[in-house]
Amino acid sequence: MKITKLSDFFVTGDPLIYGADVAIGLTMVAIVVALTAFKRWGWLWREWLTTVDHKRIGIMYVIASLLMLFRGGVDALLMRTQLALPDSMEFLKPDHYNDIFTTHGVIMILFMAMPLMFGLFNLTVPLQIGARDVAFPLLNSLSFWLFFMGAMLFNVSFVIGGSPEAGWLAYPPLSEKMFSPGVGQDFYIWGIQISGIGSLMTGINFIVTILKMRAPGMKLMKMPMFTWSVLSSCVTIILAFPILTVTLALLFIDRYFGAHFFTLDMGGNPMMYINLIWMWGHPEVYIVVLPAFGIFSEIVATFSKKRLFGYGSMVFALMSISIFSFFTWAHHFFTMGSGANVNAFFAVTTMIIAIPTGVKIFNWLFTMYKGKITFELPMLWTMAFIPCFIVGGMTGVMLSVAPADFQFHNSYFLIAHFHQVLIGGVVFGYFAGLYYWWPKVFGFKLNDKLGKWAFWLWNIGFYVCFMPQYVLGLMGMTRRVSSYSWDTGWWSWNFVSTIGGFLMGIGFLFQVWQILHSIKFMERVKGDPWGGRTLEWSIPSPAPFYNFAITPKVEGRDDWWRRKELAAKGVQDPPPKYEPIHMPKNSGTPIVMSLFWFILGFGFVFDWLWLIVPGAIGIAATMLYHSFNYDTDYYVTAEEVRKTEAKAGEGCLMAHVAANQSSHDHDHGHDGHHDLEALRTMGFWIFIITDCIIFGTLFATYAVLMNSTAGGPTGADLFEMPGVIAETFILLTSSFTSGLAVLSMNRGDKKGLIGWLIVTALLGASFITLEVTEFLKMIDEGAKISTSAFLSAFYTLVGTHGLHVSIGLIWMVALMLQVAKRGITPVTKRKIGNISLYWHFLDVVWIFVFTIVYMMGVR
Amino acid sequence: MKYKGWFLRAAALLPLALMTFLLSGCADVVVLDPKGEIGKHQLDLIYITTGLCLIIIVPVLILTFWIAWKYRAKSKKKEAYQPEWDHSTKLETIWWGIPILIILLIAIVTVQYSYKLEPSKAIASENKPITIQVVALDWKWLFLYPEQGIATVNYVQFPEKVPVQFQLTADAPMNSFWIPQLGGQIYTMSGMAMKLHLIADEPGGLLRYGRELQRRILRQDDLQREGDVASRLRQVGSGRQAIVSGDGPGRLQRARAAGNLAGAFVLRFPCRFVRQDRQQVCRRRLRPPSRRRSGIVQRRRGRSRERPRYERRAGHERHGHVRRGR
Repeated sequence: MKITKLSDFFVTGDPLIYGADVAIGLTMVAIVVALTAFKRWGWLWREWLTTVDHKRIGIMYVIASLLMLFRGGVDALLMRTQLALPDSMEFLKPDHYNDIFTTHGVIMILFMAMPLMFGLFNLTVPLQIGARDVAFPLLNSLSFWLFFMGAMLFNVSFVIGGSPEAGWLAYPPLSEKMFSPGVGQDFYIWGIQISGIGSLMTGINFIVTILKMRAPGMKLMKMPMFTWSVLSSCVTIILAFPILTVTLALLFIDRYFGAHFFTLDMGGNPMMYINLIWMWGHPEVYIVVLPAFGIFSEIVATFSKKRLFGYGSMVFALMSISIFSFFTWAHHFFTMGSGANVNAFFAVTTMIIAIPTGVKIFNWLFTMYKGKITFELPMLWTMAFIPCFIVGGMTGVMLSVAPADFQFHNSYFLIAHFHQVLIGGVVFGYFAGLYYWWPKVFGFKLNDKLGKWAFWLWNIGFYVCFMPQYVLGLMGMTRRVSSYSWDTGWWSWNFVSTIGGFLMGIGFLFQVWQILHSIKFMERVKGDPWGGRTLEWSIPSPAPFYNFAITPKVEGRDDWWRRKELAAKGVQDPPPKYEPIHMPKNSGTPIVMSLFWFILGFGFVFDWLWLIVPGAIGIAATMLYHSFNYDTDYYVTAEEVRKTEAKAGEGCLMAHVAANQSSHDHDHGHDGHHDLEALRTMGFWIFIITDCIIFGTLFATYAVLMNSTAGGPTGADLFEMPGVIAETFILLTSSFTSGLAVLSMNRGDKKGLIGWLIVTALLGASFITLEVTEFLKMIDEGAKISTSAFLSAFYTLVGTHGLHVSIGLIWMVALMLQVAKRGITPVTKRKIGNISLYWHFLDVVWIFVFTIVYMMGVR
Repeated sequence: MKYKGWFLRAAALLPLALMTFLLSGCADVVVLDPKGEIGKHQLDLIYITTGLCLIIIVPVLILTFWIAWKYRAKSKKKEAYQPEWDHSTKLETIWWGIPILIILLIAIVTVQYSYKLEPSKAIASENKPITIQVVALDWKWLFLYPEQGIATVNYVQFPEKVPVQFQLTADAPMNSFWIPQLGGQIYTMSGMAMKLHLIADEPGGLLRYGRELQRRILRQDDLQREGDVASRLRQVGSGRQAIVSGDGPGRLQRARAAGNLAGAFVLRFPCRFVRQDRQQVCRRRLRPPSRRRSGIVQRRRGRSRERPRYERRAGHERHGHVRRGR
């Protein structure tokens, strides 16, 4: 967007926004002043901003998500206030209302629920499986900072440039440049894109953590149920999030390069966007709710003092939900006229999900059956969840009945339904989890009385707010209207609903009060305040920075419970023998790289090349810096472990144990690395899976649009096969030579390795040169990305492959330098193995490009 | 302490229930009170599925509270405590089985109704159906009566007991067309010709709307441009007066012409305004759906611009609106 005057840049004109400007400015000044006055900048940088400790990253996730809950909640209350009085009142102008329902949805799902979920993953999973950290601590930090920068970029739109206003999923053509010419949609795309990359990496990280880093003896079927739910959620993440990445990228290409994926003209297909976004969007709902199911499973067992009922059923149910979630997306648009066959199919797949969900409810109930239930705060929230989710699930089944959905679709009935499952399921679940693990994380309990106030306010507020909305839906009130007339009869219900909304808001204030109160009057607890069953409760609270002084040996489900029972019978653990612990070093790379992402995103939003270029260079530079950095870990001495444990044992639980690495920096060489290398290889394989989905999605869009030439050139007009065959031959040969490089490496032949890598890189470079020449020639002939939907899809698909090859080339050169310097070590071996895998993968993709795009194109 | 919580909740629910009762007196819950065949079938379906769901949900709700109450740790009675009991094949088979059965029933009903109530399926009737073309424009609905040669804006009228075939498209962002009293909604999308069949069993001066799926609600500047739209909106609200269009006697006349149709089932939209410029364009663009197998109507053919090399080749399809055969 061209900025000509200041008011193009800053959002102006609304007193609410000026108020927010002032509040934001003052808060920032206050933070800076406070940090300077208390000389905390260094502390902030060393202990938090650069930390790779999963527990601290978890805490930062939780704080950020609570802030976002506040903003999303304020949005909600603004909307409810507007709806409380119809017609005459214009508390929010219609445009402003559009902004707010859009940001409310995006923030609550992507910047509140997701990070709160990741926070709980981080706080709990490594402790539950007896691990010292996650598989990739630095990547974990990067995930957090990407989320954070993405969230900030999205929120900046509130005061700079203008908010998005095309709904939380930004359906085109409304979200296209034609109808949304402002920068709001670009903030939307880049905010979600950047944080989405972070989510994807968290998914990979936790899958590897759970599959590879469990304590010895913890078989898969002995894992705590929360860990299972995280696994199923992460599997869903790695399969669903690449689709989101592609979808938003295509929308961006439409807006930025004038392509025609989803436009009204030149063969674009808006319905394709709706399909794609829901292929991610529906699994996304299960991504956030599955961990809540895990949390409830832990809590119900703990507070009933009983083993979880039907463990096998529970695991099967979780996994089947995460698989079935991919086959239901079309139920979000039964009214798009897909015909009876399609509607019936998706209706049935949708209702099938109710079966495993129902089974889980029965299993929770029968976990309580014949137990001794105490109603502490976590259990209260669980008890509130069950009836709420049952009713929400029932309305869900009602909505899944396609012909009936014609009457519910996009009405307040739907609004009430998804709020009931998202608040009743996800929010209640995460609150329960926060209350449950709070003592674990901080070493003190939250005040019970204030917590109960918050609980009842939330619960009563919830029903007062959303039950009337079911009725409103049946009365014909549709979503996203900012005004209605008196004769509709909607007013009274809306008014009641608004009261409920504010009750929940007060509930949230009580929770803030509860936290502040509990910090002030700290009620310290020992390691295991609830009578826990799983490993996280076997160590002091808060956990020392290395988690487990001694890696536990697991013999059964609920291993901590079992060990406590043995101890009660007088069986003693042998005295601990401490050993040095291998730990990752803190790093500033993630936050710096994320800052560059922010700069890049902001640059793209305003189309400012002077920001885009430094952003992109910065990202590449930090990545290369990380690639060349081999000083990533250190050892904690046995002596320090002994001291820390003794201190924790004395009850000094809040002892501030920081990873003061510089003074304990023992370089033990890379002897302990063979395990780590296996982890990293596995992580890379999962990354390749996500890349497969990215290309799969691109192929799908190409298949949809390949005939939408809009009167422009077809493949037969454009493709010149001799050149393409040469490209193919060169790329296939390079795959062969990269294989030869790996063979040389396995023989220990450093020269051969470097030599073959050079050959591979040269072949790759000539492939890229040929491809770029081909593209330039086509563009010269008038076949641009903006010429037709077919060409948009063509350039994007082939261009994405080309981009992969180019990145691979830079990476290959970096690795050559590393091998030249360090020789063939386990680390360089793994890296070369990975790039070779990547290179073969690109070859396979190219074979598909060659056959599907070029050979079928010229036919 | 414990009882106080439950008591509080009950106490809070009481006024809520009371309020619900009072409020429901003045409500007109249109979906539950359909005036047309399709809407009635859809209501049947809603009742059937709700009933089937309730078979399982009511007992589970009761069970939840009963178990939580009976096995609370503070219970005076000493109940059985079996901390190790965590599996029972018999019980688990039962609660896998019951939901499967219920869902199976709902699925069978759903599939049957999916075919029966498919929106593009014509309604059987002795009366000859009437066709109304619907175009979602920026902020308003345009209705074309091709057989009568008239058009209306934000106002549609058709005879009772006569099947209506709506042919729908959009010349703006997506919208969704919904007449809750007669039956379910359908999207209107640019480049797509959708079909929706509805019938009104009785005359009525009913309702409004199409919902604005993703459209911005009246912008401030639009309001200014349109002068006193706001006051007219109020008029619609209070007096149940149909606002036909915003801006000129010409269109009002056309709308009255539509009013001369036999019978009366009137849809009023909480009308906004009309932009003169768009209407002609739309009429031209609404092509019969049979032009394409998929029903997609291609808008805007390739613009006239310099034709590159491929133009010279023979045998390729130049027009975007026909898919190449496979």
